[in-house]
Amino acid sequence: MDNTAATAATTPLPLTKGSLAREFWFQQAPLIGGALLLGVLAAYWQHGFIPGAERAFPVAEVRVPVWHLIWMGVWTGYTMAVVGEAAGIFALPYSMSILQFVNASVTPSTQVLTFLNPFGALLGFRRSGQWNLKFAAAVCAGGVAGGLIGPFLRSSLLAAADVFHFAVGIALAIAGIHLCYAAFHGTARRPPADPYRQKVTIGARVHGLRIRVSFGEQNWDLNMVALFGVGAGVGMFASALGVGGGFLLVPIFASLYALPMYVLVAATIPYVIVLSAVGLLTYNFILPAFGAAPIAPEWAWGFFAAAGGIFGSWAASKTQMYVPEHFLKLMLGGVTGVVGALYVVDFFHPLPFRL
Amino acid sequence: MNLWWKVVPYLPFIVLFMAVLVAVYHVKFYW
Repeated sequence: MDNTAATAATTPLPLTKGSLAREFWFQQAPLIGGALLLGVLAAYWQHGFIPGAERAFPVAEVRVPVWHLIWMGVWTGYTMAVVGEAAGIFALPYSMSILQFVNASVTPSTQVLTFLNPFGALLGFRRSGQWNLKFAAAVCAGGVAGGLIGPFLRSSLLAAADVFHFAVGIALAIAGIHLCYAAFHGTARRPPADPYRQKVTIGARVHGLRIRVSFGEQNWDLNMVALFGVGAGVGMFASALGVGGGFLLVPIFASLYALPMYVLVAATIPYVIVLSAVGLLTYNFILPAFGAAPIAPEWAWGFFAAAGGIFGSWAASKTQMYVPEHFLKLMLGGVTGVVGALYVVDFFHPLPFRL
Repeated sequence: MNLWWKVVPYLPFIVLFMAVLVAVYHVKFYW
């Protein structure tokens, strides 16, 4: 995997102050405005009023100002996108432990955020050429299977609050360990040619059950059945918790297949969107079709957080190359790991404070 | 513009610090 080969056939993409402003106003601002509008409409449709600091969110059963939800999206989207993760793995424990959204609806509500949040990044990666639907297809199909099964686990095995906290703790610990590991072992995050200025191409050719993914002169030969299996396994766990699955899929792709970050995003970003969409569908419609009670999301909660998340992850994509990534990964990994460990310890020995 | 380039590397830490402040505010007034 020679990274120097990754320079690829490139086309310059000028990145100026004007192009940044254009990109924000024409591409990001409509998405952010749309998410805010959906939040307002969803609040009126679901409750007949806009909940917030004065009147509690009826499904979440907590009072929280709308600006705080938008801010949660901004900071989780920004800090996690800077280190190549998605907002859900931070927004979920923050919603549970700080905002005290503790009932089962926290899961689909966070999935509204994980569904909308990656669209900004998807557009950005499509613009830079890090996009191939053939490559993404098998793992996304696995995500569909996982997104159909995961919500059933949430409504049965993970229905009890303490068991759910324990499962979230395990997920946080995995994410924390991955971030700390990545801090010490620099992963190939971007090709030497600056991807923010150069258009690149990711190719994919299917031969029977195998797919050959190419980037410049680099090639990876992948088994599509294995990709499907990984997508389904990660999807089950992630949709049962209410996160996008990137926290598991990225380290698996990076370690198992030695795929660099600038290639694997072509599969992981569409995966998170597909998994979240199927998870939401299952929580709302497929659970009741099989006799289980539906788990309704607090739609407005998710949309308001997503509006902030879209801005946060876009801002991260523009500033990522200027921040001390390794120190930040270590810090975030440490915090995530400690919070995860506290959740796990709390399951076996209840702690003297509220988590 | 110069100030912007000086602040950008510290931006994630500033954002995290603000997140902690807002979380403390929430715990104090809404719990």
